[in-house]
Amino acid sequence: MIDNANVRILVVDDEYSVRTSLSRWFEADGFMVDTAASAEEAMEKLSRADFNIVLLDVKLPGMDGLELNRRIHQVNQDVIVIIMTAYASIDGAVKSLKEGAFDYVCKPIDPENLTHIVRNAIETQQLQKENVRLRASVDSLLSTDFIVGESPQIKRVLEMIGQVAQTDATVMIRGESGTGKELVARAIHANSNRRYGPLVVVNCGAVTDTLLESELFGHEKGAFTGAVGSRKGKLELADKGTVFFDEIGNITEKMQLDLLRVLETKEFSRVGGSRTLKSDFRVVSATNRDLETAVREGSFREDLYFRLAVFTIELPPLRDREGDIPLLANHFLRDFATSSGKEIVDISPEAMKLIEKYPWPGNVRELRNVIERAVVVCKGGRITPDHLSFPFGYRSQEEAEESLEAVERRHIKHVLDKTGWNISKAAQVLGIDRTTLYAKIKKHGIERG
Amino acid sequence: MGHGKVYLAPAAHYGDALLDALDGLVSGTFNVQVERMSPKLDLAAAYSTSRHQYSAENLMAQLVNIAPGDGKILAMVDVDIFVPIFTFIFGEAQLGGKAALLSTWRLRPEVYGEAHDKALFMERVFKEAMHELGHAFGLKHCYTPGCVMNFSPTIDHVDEKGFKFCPVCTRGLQSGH
Repeated sequence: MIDNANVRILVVDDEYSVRTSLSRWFEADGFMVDTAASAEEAMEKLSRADFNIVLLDVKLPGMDGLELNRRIHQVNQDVIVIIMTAYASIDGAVKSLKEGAFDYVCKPIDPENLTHIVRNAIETQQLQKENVRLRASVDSLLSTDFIVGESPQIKRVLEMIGQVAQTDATVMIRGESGTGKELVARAIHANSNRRYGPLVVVNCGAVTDTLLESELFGHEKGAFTGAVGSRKGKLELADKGTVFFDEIGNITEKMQLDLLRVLETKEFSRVGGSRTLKSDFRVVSATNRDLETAVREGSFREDLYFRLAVFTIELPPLRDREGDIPLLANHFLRDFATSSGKEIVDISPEAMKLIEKYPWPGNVRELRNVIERAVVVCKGGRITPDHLSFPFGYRSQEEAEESLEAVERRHIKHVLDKTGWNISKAAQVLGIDRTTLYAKIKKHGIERG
Repeated sequence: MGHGKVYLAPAAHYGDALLDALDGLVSGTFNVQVERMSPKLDLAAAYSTSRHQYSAENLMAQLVNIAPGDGKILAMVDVDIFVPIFTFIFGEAQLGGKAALLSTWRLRPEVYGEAHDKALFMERVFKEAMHELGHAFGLKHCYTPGCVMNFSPTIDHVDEKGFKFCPVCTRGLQSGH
């Protein structure tokens, strides 16, 4: 609903009766109205206050309305100018539309026409503002901020994203599983000129050849059993956007050939269809396979490889990203603590030491999972080693070098904590009697907490 | 709302049925005493030979001069009125002032090629009279569906709205705005 009290209108006309009639008319509608008798006075008022709408007579003494319209739009593109003209000067009004005026009305004005135009003008302006606001919020969402890290390795990746995003070159992202290849693909899309278009993800590793074909190109009704209706393919849906082929190294030879043809022409047909469709998309792909070797061995087409990998981004494994592990761990802690509503302030130095020592074969995804689990089991306060669960059988280097006595102390403390310092239960778990347990607690100086 | 006075000033023959009903409507709605007066308006002086219409500005100026000092005046003319910028207007009023002008010309179904319909004409007159007096009592246009203070750029809009004030406008009248 438009609140007229927030809309400022400037009426520019050298005729006193027009100025007073229109301002009375707009005031009765609840608008804030000001008037100007000349272009110069209008410029002066426009420089002092923000107006939403300027109602502008073509014929003015000195600078005419058309020139004033040009000047207004040089200074402020957001002001909506409505030209008022006599029938004799419609040509001028049409010219003014080409120079940014919103609409024109002929004098004398039909009241209904003016009401209609002013309403349209306000709605258009609100939509424009809303559009700007939404674009700003989309821009803030679609940035590279979600790639966390300060290491030289990850900074280099961000630099490469910046270099390649604005081009239309194909990008091949390579890296171990869990290094964040899809995040990089999203960052490339988000920083490209296609960011307001779609980003369509195709997981090539998860589907069969036939399914992938129908998924990519779409299908017509009756193309195969179960095709009860026609469906657009992901390439069609990605028009004006980006297609991200995840696990591209897993596609079959037939699919490699089909894809090569599409990438060369950007033309394709739906499965079971005869119409040739065109789609304007950019291709980003990812793999954790060594595609050069696959090309040498003949299991991946060389021509397709070169078409997909105009630009290559190598993602470093987490263990090679100096200093990023604590940053990421704290980042995930904040995220999960916030979403679970728990007041967990930090990760204890001992826990962080363990996190830093662990080799993270599953990379960022594994770190994320470990922190998520820790937040689930932690009741509040801080994450301690007890909250961390690494894969069974894993022992850090430090643990491997521990003395038997230190291992015993740590294990007894662990069991006591787990049993809530119930001595009988702890002794039972440890396979010793209560007296021995008391003696060991004393010997190792184990304290509750 | 005070116990003021509204002078109903018909400058054409409307018949007692219409005027009596309007008297009652105005006095009941605005809680005022209604008096009838015959306005001495010089219509010829307001006639525009180029537009073949009557200048609302000229008529309003005359009205302000003849308005009694102890109330508001609503003059009703049966000619087509205009302000220079608009093709026509149904009426005009001083916002929160003492003078209001209503043209009944474009409220007649015959103007739109339709058959004479006394009831419809009366209903339209009541609506626009209440609307212009609403302005004189300080009300602006209202967007509540059906409220008599809805702006009506065409006769269809007049027919769509009611002749009563919505609760917000009623409160506005009571508080003197």
